[in-house]
Amino acid sequence: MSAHVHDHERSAAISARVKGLIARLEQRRLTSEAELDSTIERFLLNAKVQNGYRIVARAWRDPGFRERLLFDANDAVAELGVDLSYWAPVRLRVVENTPKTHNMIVCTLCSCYPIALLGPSPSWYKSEAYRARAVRDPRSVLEEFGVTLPAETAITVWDSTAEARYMVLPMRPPGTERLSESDLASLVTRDGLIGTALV
Amino acid sequence: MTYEAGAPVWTRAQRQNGHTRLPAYLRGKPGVIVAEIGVFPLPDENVGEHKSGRRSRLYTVAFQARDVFDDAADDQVICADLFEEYLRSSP
Repeated sequence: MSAHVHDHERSAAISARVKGLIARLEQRRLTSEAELDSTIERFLLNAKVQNGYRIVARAWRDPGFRERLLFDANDAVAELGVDLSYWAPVRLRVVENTPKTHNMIVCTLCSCYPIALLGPSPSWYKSEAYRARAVRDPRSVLEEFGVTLPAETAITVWDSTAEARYMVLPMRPPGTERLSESDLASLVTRDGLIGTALV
Repeated sequence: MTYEAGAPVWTRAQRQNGHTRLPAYLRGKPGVIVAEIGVFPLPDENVGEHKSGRRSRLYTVAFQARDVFDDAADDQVICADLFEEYLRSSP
């Protein structure tokens, strides 16, 4: 059986469990379909990758913000109106790429991801291949994403195993000194915030 | 036992039945405390029917990838967030 078919079967099994759970909660009048829908809608309305882009652009333009972001990311992103405590008190850490260190984010145990800053995660982030290989051989994984790092750049992989979430602060591309914050934001990519792209 | 940033630690080597947030690949490995993140419910004891309600200190721990995987690059680092229960001050 291919891994693909296996994944489908497993996600079908999880869907069935979730449906069963919802039915029980509704039976006991602990929640309703309408309440669930509106909660998810409200969350997803604010959980988008543009939050991540704005945070990076601000950090590139404003050294004080960058410093606060690296010191206490929860406080710093709140300045931009991004609230990470919607469902659970999650700690956010932003890790900065430098010529010496490239950072990459993974969740080997499941699929922890800063949804509030990046929106829903891409399917490859949840794949067993990415989760297993990112910690063991990140340089080859990056090559497959089309990223070749200089030999002198070391890689740090952050495995989000518990209550903290991570976002990468990419290096500001050269020649962007005159760009406005919104122009800078448009240079940033989702993969850059996970560390599988340079920007 | 609490740990300061910079303290050398070892992760628990034994396999544990039931839920844990100590990934198997990080069992019995030497690392260094990077920072304390906060105090959170210990997932190992807060799943299933018998929840202890116990909370535990959570740390970011840095590992030389070479200490974790024989074939890893010399200059690679792996950081993971691990609860105090998973850590020891000696092997």
